[in-house]
Amino acid sequence: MSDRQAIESESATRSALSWPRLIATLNEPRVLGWIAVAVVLIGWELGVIVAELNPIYLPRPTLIVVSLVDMFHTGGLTTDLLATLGRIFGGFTFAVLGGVLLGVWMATSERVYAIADNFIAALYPLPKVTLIPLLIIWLGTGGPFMLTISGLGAIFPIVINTVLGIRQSDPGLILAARDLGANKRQIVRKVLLPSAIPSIFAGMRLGLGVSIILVVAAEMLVGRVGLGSRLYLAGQVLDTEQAFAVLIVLATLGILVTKIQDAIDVSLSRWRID
Amino acid sequence: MATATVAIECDEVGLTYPAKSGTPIVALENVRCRFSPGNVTAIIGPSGCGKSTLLQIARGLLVPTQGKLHYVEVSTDTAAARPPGMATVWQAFSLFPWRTVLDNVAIGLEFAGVPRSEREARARRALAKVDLLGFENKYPRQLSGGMRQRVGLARALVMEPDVLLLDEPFGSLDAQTRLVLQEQLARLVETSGTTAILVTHSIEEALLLADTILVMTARPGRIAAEITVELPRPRTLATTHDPAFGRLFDRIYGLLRDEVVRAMAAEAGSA
Repeated sequence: MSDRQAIESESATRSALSWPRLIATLNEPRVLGWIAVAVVLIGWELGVIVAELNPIYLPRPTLIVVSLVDMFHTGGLTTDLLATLGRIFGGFTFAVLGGVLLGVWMATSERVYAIADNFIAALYPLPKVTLIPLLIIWLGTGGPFMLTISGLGAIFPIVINTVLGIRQSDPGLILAARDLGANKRQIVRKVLLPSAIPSIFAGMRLGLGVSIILVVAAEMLVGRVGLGSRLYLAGQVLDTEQAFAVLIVLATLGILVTKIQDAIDVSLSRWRID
Repeated sequence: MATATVAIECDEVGLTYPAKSGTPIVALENVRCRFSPGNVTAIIGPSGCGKSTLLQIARGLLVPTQGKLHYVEVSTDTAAARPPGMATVWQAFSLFPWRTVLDNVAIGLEFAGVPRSEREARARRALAKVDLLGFENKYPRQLSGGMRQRVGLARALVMEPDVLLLDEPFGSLDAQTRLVLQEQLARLVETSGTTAILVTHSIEEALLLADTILVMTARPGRIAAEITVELPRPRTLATTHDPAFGRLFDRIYGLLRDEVVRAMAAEAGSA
């Protein structure tokens, strides 16, 4: 059999099988989910064209994409994206370091816990956006302010989850470590912290979400660069396409962050999977 | 295993837990006993009588509220310069789930600051003793209960303890696995001449492994009797058919039954 014959016969069997197989593929929940997205986008595109909507209210998705590409190419959106990312993750990094440290300290010392507990109880439920005016008075609107607001958003869930994770660690493991000669420091580093990792990560997940919200909100209020300020500006000049384009960037950022966190969770908890 | 020269003596030891409300709980009272080097001592008693508490006091993990613990150099009958090296095997295994088998076994050496290559070599040797070579990179969850407890045993053995402490080591295992591990442990104890303290619920286990059996009372735990087991070694499953085994079994069972009945009555009374 020549190659050509092989290809032809293969394509023949494929076309004979293709309809039922195609329908089966389309019925898969994952595929169905993407089809739904496509249907909405196409419906949106056609709807706008047919109803002749003013693009100030609702621009066509294709034009939003064009605008998005333009903004990256010539409009300096990369700078805005990097500025926002830097603020979010800069503050978040401080929050992780400080939050885990404070959490460990609180979980291992009743006195430290008692001292910190009331402050956390007062600050944690407070919507952090309400702190923006005060922080601007104290820090201005530059880098320190952005890092602080981002860090403040993330640190509380991290502290609380660290304390929780350590408190829930198995006392039998601590006893076993003491029996094997561990000192206090070693117990914290090699028993308590690893025990608390899943809980700490849950806290980081919550914290990063709050950081993103706060940084974008702060940028909308006072930023000159950043996705939030870009979004606000687009709204001011009624450039709806740009506003949508920034939203797409933010949504993509959210998806990426979630997926990366999922991947880290899986790799860190390999020992939990049989 | 190191040859021990230090005995652990409990001198009128007691432990009372302060209760948040109501009367404090007396876990142990007036316990006087001696764990001699080269000797395997079993502590047996009804549930909640403070057997494990006594073990942890002997280990130095719990500080008694009454009485004193002494470490005695046997050859000179003077206070020992430092306590004997000890390592515990736990009923619940207490393996670190995020560490591989090898890293679990090596953790005690890691705490002691032994360099990685040396501690891994020693951990491998300990794993060989419990027939677990080839499982170094598994996580505890991937192992059966019996294998996990052999990891627990290797983790204690790697410390080359003067005294091996066994806190109901086979309590969470199924009956068959328990029998096999009991025999293996009996072999290990007989060939190494190790000093061991074994806390157990099982009279057979105590008779199979121990030179001395301390029978404890229901809470508050005291020593009801100290029984010397002179069954010939090596002891195997066949030992259980020895008439002397039967006599000892009946004697210990008689002592225990009264205590268990008392413990149950006390529980019913407090409930």
